[in-house]
Amino acid sequence: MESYIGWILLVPPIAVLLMPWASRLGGWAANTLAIVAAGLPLVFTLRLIPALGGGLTYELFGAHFALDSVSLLFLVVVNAVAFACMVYATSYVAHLGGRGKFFALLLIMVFGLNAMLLTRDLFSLYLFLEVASIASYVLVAFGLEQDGIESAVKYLLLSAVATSLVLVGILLVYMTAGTLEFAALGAALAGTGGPVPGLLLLAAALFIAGFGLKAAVMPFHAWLPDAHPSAPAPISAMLSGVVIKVAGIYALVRIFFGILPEIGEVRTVFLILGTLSMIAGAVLAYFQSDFKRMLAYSSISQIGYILIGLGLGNLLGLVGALFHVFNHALFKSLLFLNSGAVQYRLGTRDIEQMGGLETRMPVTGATSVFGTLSIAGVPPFNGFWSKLFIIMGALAAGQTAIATLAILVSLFTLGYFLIIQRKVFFGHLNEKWRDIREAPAAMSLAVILLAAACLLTGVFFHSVTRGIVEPAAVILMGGN
Amino acid sequence: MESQALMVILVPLLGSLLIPLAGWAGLRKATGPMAVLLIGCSHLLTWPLLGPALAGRTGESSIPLYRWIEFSTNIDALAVFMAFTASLIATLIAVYSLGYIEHTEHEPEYYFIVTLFVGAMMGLVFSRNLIFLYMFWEISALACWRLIGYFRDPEYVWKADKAFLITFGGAVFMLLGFALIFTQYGTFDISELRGKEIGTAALVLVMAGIFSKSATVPLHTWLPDAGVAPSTITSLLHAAILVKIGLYAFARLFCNGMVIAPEAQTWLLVLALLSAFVSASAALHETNIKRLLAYSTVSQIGYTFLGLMVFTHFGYIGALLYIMAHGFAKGGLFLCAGIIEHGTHTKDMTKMGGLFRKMPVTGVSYLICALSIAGIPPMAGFFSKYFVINGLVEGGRIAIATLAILTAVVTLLYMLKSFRMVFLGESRGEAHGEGSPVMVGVVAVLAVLTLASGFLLQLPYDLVKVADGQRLVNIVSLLWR
Repeated sequence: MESYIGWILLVPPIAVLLMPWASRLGGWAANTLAIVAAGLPLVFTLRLIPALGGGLTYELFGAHFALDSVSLLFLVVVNAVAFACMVYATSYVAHLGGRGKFFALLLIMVFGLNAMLLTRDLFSLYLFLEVASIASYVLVAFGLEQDGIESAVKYLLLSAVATSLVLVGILLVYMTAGTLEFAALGAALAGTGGPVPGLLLLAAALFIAGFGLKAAVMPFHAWLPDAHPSAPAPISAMLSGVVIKVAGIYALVRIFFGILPEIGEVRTVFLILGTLSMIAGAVLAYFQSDFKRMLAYSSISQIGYILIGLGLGNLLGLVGALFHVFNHALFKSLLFLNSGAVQYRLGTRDIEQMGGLETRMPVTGATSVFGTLSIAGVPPFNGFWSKLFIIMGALAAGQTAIATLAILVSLFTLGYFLIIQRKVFFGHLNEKWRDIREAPAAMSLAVILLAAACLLTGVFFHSVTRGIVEPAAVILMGGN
Repeated sequence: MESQALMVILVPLLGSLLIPLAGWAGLRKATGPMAVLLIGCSHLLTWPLLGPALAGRTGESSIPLYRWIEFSTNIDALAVFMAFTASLIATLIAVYSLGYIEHTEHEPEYYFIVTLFVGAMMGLVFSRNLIFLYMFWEISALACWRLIGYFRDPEYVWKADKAFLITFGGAVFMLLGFALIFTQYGTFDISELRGKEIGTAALVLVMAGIFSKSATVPLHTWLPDAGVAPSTITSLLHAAILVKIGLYAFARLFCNGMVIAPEAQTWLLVLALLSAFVSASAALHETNIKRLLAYSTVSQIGYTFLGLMVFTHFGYIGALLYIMAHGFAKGGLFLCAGIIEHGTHTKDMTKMGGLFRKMPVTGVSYLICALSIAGIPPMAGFFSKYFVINGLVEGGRIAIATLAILTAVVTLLYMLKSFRMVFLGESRGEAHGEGSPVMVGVVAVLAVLTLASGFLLQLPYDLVKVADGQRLVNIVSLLWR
């Protein structure tokens, strides 16, 4: 079973190496290779769920990797979304060109994210974060259009700021503890008792700013509404669905739950930043007329929910936050893929020019309803349960105001997603689009998979929460 | 009994998923009969529950899912009564749809959502866990969203969004109220909350949800707007399912469950009376037939709330009978309006007139239903209205009872006005003959039901009496605690 960890790490890079030959053979070979390379890690991850127990470790070329419930939850998210995006990309990439390169970059990104989740020391975490990030800068600019390149540069610059902050933070931790390995760090820093050393407080601030930038938490969000919309749709889906969570939330969770000693203020900061992001993201999303920009702002809002859940400090809040990570990955990538399908056929992202597309694109229309209802938290879709847990957690922690705001924002969320539904899908067909056809089969298949996942994780929420979410939350609370 | 109730829920809820599949498979024609079959099955499955319910038997079942979330059901006379009437009216409306919705663009979607809607109602009626109550509540809201916007005009879709946002907004606040109740008592189980006093904040939040769903002033504005939906849907919303959800939830949560403080009770009664009176006055001034009927619903809902909120025998019995009587009559009226709209291509009553000669069956049915709503004996509406007023007197609320009678007079006025404008006098516009036989037949059946439930009041009365007894049992057990 441990060897699965090795395969999860190795399959994507091996496929990257083979990709030039495969593309030379033809598009079909590149497609097959890419789908297999994205699918195998998903299969291995799912097979690891029952076998996990108290955790697994694995040594690969002298490097140590380990898997616990927290990593596993994020691994499932990364590989499930990556697989759907890869299936989608096999059709979508046709109008971009450079099929082999696109797949290779996407696989490098997946490798970076997976390795980040499996590694066991802070420096490697930083290293693999950079691997994933570099691939994503290139992918954002992959269309080689003005706005894509511009926002890629913006993304690159702000990420460079973020990672340098993180690097300084790591340095400070190393100065204090003399090690960067997670378990040793936890032991070294926990024993001190008394007040937390000033250096560590500074490091904590740097981590929050750095990883907060990566997670696009307000006020560090400026790059996201540019980068996510201008990227090719499968990349937008990966960035909004997965990357901000692994690069931002996962790193924050790892560092602040288990490594650094407990700093009370951090929770408050999480709550404040989370509430700010939740509200401001939703309000800004309301005023967008660009389909993907609206989705991007809504990601900021949903990240806010996750941060609130983390900041509450009770098990219920954590279960809600982690479950929301899982759910948001599914429905937000679904919605980005929907918007990509619309853009693919119509050539525009301006919702004012659309209308009644569900008659011409029934699959896209129906699945976008699933996404809308999930993100607004309408039961029985998955988003409802995670928001419910966060709200119940907030009430249990005595944060009635935050619970009320979270409820209000979910109403607001439904409001702006109904605008999308009204202007894009639900309504009379805009005559301009009379001859539009449904998106190609692979793209439709990917959204159907994700929409089914949204509904099924909603209906069988108890299996998901019991199976992979709660164990992760228990570990973060300090139990085993 | 428990598995029977589960079937009542699951047949339409899961069966509805087959309908879009049939639509994709090219069986558009089959989707209508499928929906009728599923909803009809669900109704027939409630018949065997009537016997045990009349005998006063109750049942419970529970499937724990995660922590305090369990899928638990509660089968008693109230639940069976609601499930029986709602599914009966829904079945009739589904049959009527076969004639009405034919040849429209999104037929499979229509039948899918209608069946899902009925399934959600059945689920809500039997739910014992507040979270699941909320879940079915929201499923009905999203069904309502798709159905109100069914004709897809930009204005219609906007009104559908409005209805969705108001009812969703009310419901999420209700959810917050449920969560507050949970923080106080540590449970979402309605039967465990029996006899517990609800806090003011939680009460306000829960009532926001109930009033938004049951279109009570000032949260009623979406209901008249929802008249842009196909007439079958407005009929379904007004008569069988949607607005009854709030009434049922009130009966379940407060008449059978938690206790409201006396001061709050007075406030609620005043709100309900205000809603009944204001909307009756609004109906008096409407010339759009569907909006008139919608305001009338708001008014009748207020009446029903009066019966529930006074917490007396007569009030409770009257309110439950009211739900049934109003369901038959208002369902019939909206379906009549559908036939009239088909025949005249307008909803404006000033352009109608003299339709009685061309549509005799519809005219007679309309008159019977309208008189029932207005509370004229021997229609069922009279008895329910009488019981509610009697209940108000029984509870010592003489002033409110007097004003309620005044409202009844206004109701008679606008009902007769609408009948006169539509059916009597000179014809003021184009008019074809009766609707299709199926449609007219269903309308006639509803009119007969309205009459019969008045003449044979004993049958529903027995069941409602049992429900009242079960409510009393709860309060007695509270006194003993």
